[in-house]
Parts: sequence; C-alpha cells; structure tokens
Amino acid sequence: MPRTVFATLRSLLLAGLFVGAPASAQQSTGTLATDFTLRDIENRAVSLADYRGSVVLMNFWATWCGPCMQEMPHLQTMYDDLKDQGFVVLSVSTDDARDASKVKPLVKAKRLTFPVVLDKETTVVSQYNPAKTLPYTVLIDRQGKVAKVHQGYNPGDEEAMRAEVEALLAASPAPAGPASPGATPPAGTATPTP
Amino acid sequence: MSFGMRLSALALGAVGLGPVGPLAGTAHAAELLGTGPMAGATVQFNEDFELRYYESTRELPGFEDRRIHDYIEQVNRLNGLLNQRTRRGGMISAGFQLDQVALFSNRYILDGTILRSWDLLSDSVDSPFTDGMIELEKLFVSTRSRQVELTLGDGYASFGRGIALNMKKNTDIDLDTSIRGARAMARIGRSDITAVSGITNAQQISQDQPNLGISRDVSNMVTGLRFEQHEVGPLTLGAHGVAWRFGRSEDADLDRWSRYGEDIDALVGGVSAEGFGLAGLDVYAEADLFRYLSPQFYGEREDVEFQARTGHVAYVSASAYPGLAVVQVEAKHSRDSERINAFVTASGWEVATVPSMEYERVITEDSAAALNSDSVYGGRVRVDYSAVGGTVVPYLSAMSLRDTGEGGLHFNRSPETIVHPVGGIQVTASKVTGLLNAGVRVDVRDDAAEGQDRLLHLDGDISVPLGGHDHLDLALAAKHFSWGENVQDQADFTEMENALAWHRGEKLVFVLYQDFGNNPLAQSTGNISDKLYGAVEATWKPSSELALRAFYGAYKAGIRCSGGQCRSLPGFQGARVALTGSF
Repeated sequence: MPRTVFATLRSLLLAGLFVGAPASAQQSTGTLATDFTLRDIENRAVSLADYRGSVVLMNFWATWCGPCMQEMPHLQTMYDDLKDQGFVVLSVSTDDARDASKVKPLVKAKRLTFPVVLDKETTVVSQYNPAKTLPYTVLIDRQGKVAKVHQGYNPGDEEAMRAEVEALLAASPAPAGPASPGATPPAGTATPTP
Repeated sequence: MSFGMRLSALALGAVGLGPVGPLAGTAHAAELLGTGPMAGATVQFNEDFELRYYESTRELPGFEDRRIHDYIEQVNRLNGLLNQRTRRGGMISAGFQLDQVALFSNRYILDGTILRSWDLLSDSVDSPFTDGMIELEKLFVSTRSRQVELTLGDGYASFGRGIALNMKKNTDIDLDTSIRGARAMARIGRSDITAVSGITNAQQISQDQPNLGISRDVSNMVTGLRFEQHEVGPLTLGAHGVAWRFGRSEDADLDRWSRYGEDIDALVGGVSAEGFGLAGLDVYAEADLFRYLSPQFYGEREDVEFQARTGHVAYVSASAYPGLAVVQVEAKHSRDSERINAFVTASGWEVATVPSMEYERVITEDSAAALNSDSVYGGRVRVDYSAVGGTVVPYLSAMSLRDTGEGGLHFNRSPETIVHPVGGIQVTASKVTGLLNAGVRVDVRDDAAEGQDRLLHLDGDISVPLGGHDHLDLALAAKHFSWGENVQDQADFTEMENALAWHRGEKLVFVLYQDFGNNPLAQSTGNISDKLYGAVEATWKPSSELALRAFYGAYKAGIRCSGGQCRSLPGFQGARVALTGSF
C-alpha cells in the first residue's frame, strides 16, 4: 500500500514537471521566491512574505562558515545605509539544531542588527539551494521575485551586490503606508501576506 | 559539491567558497507560461557533473610497470524544484534529486579472463548495470502557508537541540538521510505542532567521495511528535516523543515499509524550556529520556530475554551580553545516550545527537570522548569581546568534560577528564580579513598507566586584496597529536592542510593545496613524498550559471566532523574535472 502511494506521488510529480507544465521557460529573473516561516533569534515567527514590498537580500550562512563571517560586516553596512529606502537583510542561519544556542551570541558579538532566522532543519535552504553552498545570497525584488543569486563570497563581492540592491531600490521606490519595510516584524504582528 | 570537501573547511574558506565547495549550482529558475493551472509556476534545475580519474597505488603482481588498477568515475547529480504560489498566499513546491554514477576502465583481462579492479555495487544491490547506477534519491511535494506546512516524500526533522531526533542533510561530509513519508507542522495561535513519520532514506550515490561497493540501504522507521507553546510568560515550552524501529541487515529483502509492522526498538521522550531576555539572559534547557527495548543496543542476542533499559541527557545553555562582551555557558550530563547512534552508525548517520561542545575542526580519532561517548558530563564557557563595532572579535573558550564511558570507539579504558581551552580572533574590519584559532586539548586518564592524549592545534585564514577584484587567500591548519596508551597503539603524528588561492578577476581562481601527514595509520600516501601531498586547481566561471573546474594532484585521508557527525574520508590521487550549471 505505501509503495503504491509513493508511486502515485512520483507519477503526479513527474506529470506536473514534465507534462502538465507549459514548456516555455525564461531566465531566472522574475521568478517567485519560495515563501517560508521560521523563528528568529528572539523567537518571533518571521515569514518572507512579511517583507513583500521591500528589496530583500536573503543570506544563508552558518556559524562555522569562514567566508560568511567575512561577508557579514558588509551586509550590516549595506543594511544600515539602505534600510530607510525599503531594503532589508534577512539572514538565515543553517546551523544544526545542536548548535542553535551558538547563533545569537555570534550575532551579538558581531553587532548585527538585521533579522536573523533559524533554519535548523535545513528545509528552507534546501528549497533555495539544494547543494547548500555557503554563503548563499538571494536578492528579491519588491514584488517577491528572485532578481539575483550569489554563491560564495570573495572580498569585493559586496560592491557588486550593493549596486544590484541600489538598482532594485531605484527601479521601484518603496510604497507608502504601513508596509514600510526594513524592520523585523514584532512578535505576533506579522504583516498579512498579500 | 566537489573535490573541495576533503580539502578542509579552512582551505575552502580561504578561497571564499565555504566548506561545501564552490561548484554547487546556482539557484536559477524559469517561469512557466501559459494559461493552465501551472501558469506562473517557476521551475529550476541544478546540474553537477564530475569526472574523476583515480591513480591507484595498487599493483598487479608481474605488471608493476603498468597502471592496471587506475580507473575513471563519472557522477552526475540533477536537482529539480518547482514552485507555485497559491491563491491564498501560500506555496506549493515539488522537487527531486536524481543521481547517477558509472565506472570506466575498472576491468582488465588476465590470462583471457575479464576481472574487475573495482566493483561499483555490492551483491546486495539489484541493478541492470554492473558498473553503473541511477537512483531517484529524493522526491517530495510540499505545501506551505503561514499556518500549515505539509510535506509528502523526503523531508527532514529536528526536535529541540537534536538530542531526540536530528535528521537533516549534512552536505559538509556528504551525508544525506531523509525521512521518506510525511511531515506536518501547524501553527495555531502561540502553539506549534510538528508530526513526522516515515522510513529513513539514505543517499546512495556520493557526489564527492568514491562510489565503491555500494550496498543496499536498510531503512529504519521513525515517528515523532513535538509540541511547542510560545510566550508562556517569557518562556517557550516544548515536549516531544520519538519512536524508532531499526532495520536489521537480514531485513534487506523485506519491503522497507514493513518496519511499521514490527516491534518498536527505542522510545525517546523529552521536554525543553527556552527563555529570552530573562534578567538579561537567554536560556535553553532540555532533558531527554531514552528507553531501549531491544537487546541489540547492548550487543546482546535478540532471542534472549531482555529487560528494557534507559539512558538520559540533560543539556543547558545560557548567554549573557554584558557591555561589549558575550558570555555563553553550556553544560550537559548524559548516560547511555548514544546507543541509538551506535546501532545505526553503519549508515553513516547519527540520528540523535547531543551537543558536543567540541571544536569540531580538531575532533580526532579519539573524538568519541567529547562527541559520542555514552556517558559524559561537563561544560564549556566562551567569552567573546566585540571591539570596533563587532569587526574585531577576540574570544576565549574553555571546555572540561568528565568521560566515564569506557567502551566504544574512544581510547580510554579508565575514566578520563578532558580539558580543552581554545582562543582566537576574527578581524573583518577592512579589506584585509583574518580568522585565527588555536588551542590545546588534554585527556587525562584516571589510570596513570594509560597516560594522556594531548593535541595542539592551530588554524587560520587570511585574505589580502591585490587591487581591483584580485585577491589572495591563505588558509593554514596544523595539528600535532601525542597519544597515551591505546588499543590501536597509535603513534604520535602531525597533520597539516594548507591552501593558497589567487582570485583573478571575477571568473578565475587558481589554488595550490598542500597536505602533510605522518600518521602511520593513515590510509593514503603522498604524491610528492610519502608524507607530503600537493595539488593544483583552476576554476573558471564564465557566467553565474556555469562553472568549470579542473584539479590535479593528491590529498590525504582523514577524519572529518561536521554538525555532530564524523566520517572517515579517503584520500585521493589523480585528476578531476567538474562542470556545474543551472537552467
């Protein structure tokens, strides 16, 4: 019985991928960023959809990742400079559950102020980057679509990344009203998903 | 991932790619057009192709001048992911991982008979190909909204601090065991409920390590439930339970789902409490009770009467942030907590892991004392000082554990006390960045005749700009071991893993690797001398979607630990070419 269920699931999936789906394909820009909900280091539930209307730089990292440590101060600088224009860094820790207690102390030591969420089961990073290269950065426009992807970090990459962020900010100014982006939503008051 | 894995997290860190390797495909997606139900969906594929030429040190008697046992391995990994936003703002996703491997030039003819130098598959695997295998490793469909997540197929799960259940992909050491079944999570008000049930599905084909003698995976059944209540005052309270039925080797021919009809082998139950900002402290505490229902956990026969036995773990962490300092304290007490892992360790996966408190880059052959011992208690204190806005962070850490477990893999045959101070600094204040860690570990046995194990370790990364987008990265790591008495009669030895990378513009990277090791028990031999290994590597990325990498040389075998798992990785000598892309 279970084997049959799995076979059916497999058939449905393959049908969806290769038969049911229209065949035309375009470049990656403009495609949907997978939504998710995770707890941040202050235990608030945070969804990617909370930041719809913002330009989001989603950065996957881990406490043991050297290049991630090199990259973080630059992300903080970018966040400080541009958050008032509707820019947010959404930092996703991929540390194992057993290392979860180490994440917040590191964030505090590095004086990082952007939102940091915990992907302890690696369910989110698996969606964005099955190979789980770290650091891994996904730039998302105000409409919630993937605009650019960066894998790894080399000194100087932050300059190109900042130019891309500024171009996205300039392309569509921040919408007026309460959906003003750039801040971590307070506990239990996340902006409703559009 | 690619050949970088074994070349140490440090070396890869130095080349700016992280310890999971640089050639993993970029996420790259396409939007599906049309007016059907899939209109607006996006689909992405990641492709990773690699050819490896192995220079074998084996010789065929009488033909020592010929490289009879050299062979070629080709591996390919294709990941696909489809996303579709729902009308209610949720998301439906479906994905798969398809792996394929083939060996070439692994046969030779001797006296008219075709013989194999290397077997890809063991006898337990039914395959239409003797030197090839294709496997749909992972497959899932999931739906997510703010309130509900449901996954059918392959998924991962971790409860609390992973003590009772911790199954997630560990790319760092190329292990990926998922739970094939169903996982559901509901967020109801301030409550989170997670339920998971399925059979374990270990990845069969490795993208990074040699695929030889692949055996059929014997699955285990796992079912778990975790409940969390948030904002109970300043606390989050949790409770969980997990049931296991492990497959035996003689079960290989049975339907893997038959585990559901068999007796439970082990039960784990636990509770947790987490507080945020309690008098300036962040606190986490968890206690788990293990109930072993099978005599096999104790190496006893199943047909002999057995009284169920128990084990336990208590773990606590607390963090404070006075001024510019960050202080973290961790402590644990465990007894008979690793028998589940010991039972299934042949699969290379530790399904329930107690936080080790160890500096994993230096976990060694005797790692079990800190990592996998059944009975350990002690703690760790770490103090970081945040200077220059958090861009200069020196730290000191000291761990002390009392290991009363005398069986298993670790060397001590009498109780021992382990002391491990580590210090370091991270400087990221300018274009020149540096990370440095150094420490010493001493394992003092109660029986003085057993002596002490001593380890001195040092590792560091430094990155220096050369102008424009060019820069140099240097990564160094060295360890020296001095062993007491042990059953393996281990001799003292030194290991080094170093790398120098030159980033030429944004598209080219050249790396020199150098390893040194004089461990007489090591399973590899250097290509420069017996103890010295060298390799060169070039990477070309013509676009963000495509990367080509070529490697030639050798690296040494060794033990690599990551995320609470340790794996003995083989050495390599030969050439590798990898092409990674996305579409």
